[in-house]
Amino acid sequence: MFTTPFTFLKAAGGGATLLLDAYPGAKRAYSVRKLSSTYAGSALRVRRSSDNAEQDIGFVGEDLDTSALTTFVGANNGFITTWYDQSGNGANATQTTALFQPQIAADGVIWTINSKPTIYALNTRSLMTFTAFTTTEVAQLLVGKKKTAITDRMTGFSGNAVTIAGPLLAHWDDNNIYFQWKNYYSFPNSSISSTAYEVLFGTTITTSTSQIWRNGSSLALSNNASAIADIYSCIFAYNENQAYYSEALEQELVIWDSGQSTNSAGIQSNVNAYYSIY
Amino acid sequence: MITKTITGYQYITSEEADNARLLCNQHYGIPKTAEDETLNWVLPAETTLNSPAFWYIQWAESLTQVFGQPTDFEVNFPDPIGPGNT
Repeated sequence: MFTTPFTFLKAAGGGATLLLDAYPGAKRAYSVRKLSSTYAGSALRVRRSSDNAEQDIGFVGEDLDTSALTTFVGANNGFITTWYDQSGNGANATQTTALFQPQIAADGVIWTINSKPTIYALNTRSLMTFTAFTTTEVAQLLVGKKKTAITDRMTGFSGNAVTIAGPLLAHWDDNNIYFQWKNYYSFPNSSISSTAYEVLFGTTITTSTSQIWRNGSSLALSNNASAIADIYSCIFAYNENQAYYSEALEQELVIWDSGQSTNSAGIQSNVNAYYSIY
Repeated sequence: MITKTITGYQYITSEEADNARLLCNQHYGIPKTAEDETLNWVLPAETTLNSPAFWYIQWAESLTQVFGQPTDFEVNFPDPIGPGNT
């Protein structure tokens, strides 16, 4: 496990340093915890299955307000209509079609990993989109786990490419961890056959090299220069409309439009201090 | 191109498909308020590689009470491109 000075810094109010206070400049930031002291909005907007009413759910301190969530959902299912962007760019991830919305609660029970709330991206249908962007440098953070089987997929930010590959950070159904970005894609030489809780972090090092980290450890890579559609526009699925969906529990997805290689250990340490992953 | 057998509901015209969307919204009371993010219960998809083209809705349990029993039909899709492939 990595430790950095950031682990021991404390924010006003006594909690740990919020991720984006320590590592600002994110392009999109979705999480079940509060990521920035300057963000004053809600975490999620939830639709309950009993009557399809919707309600924003905020934070208590740095945690999701699970009491408000439970009160609102009752004994029913809860689905995410909006995952609010905490980056300051206002690019919320949304899904306006009920059958394609990921789940936050089933029969009144909030999905959790290690007692922390999580979003369940259901295979074959969950997809959320946001205002698209392109970038030549990128760092992606993804926290969660494959749902049940090693053949499940856990997917972070991706795009809307159809005829060529698109950008991606994912633990795939072939067990490789892929990190694809503009004109390049990278993956470990050895696959990781696991459904364990994990934090994945991919970052550009130069314009032609990259690095993937899993639970604080760097992975050996194969790098391949290829034509990649460099537009980011969705989460939970690889390339919108290509039927590659996550079957995963996902808690935090952050993307920077700059390489964060010098911050990789600190970012993962910040995540681990909150979620207790490794 | 790959061909998949889809279980669901098939529509010849876009008007028929849109009427199905509206019928489902009416059944489930979507959207509930003007402030809600959820605008539709389900969205029909248009085939791009079938000739003639048609519209369809893939089956889900909640659709049976609106549309009745689904049928099976074939839909052509572009070859999917997985990670690590270009």
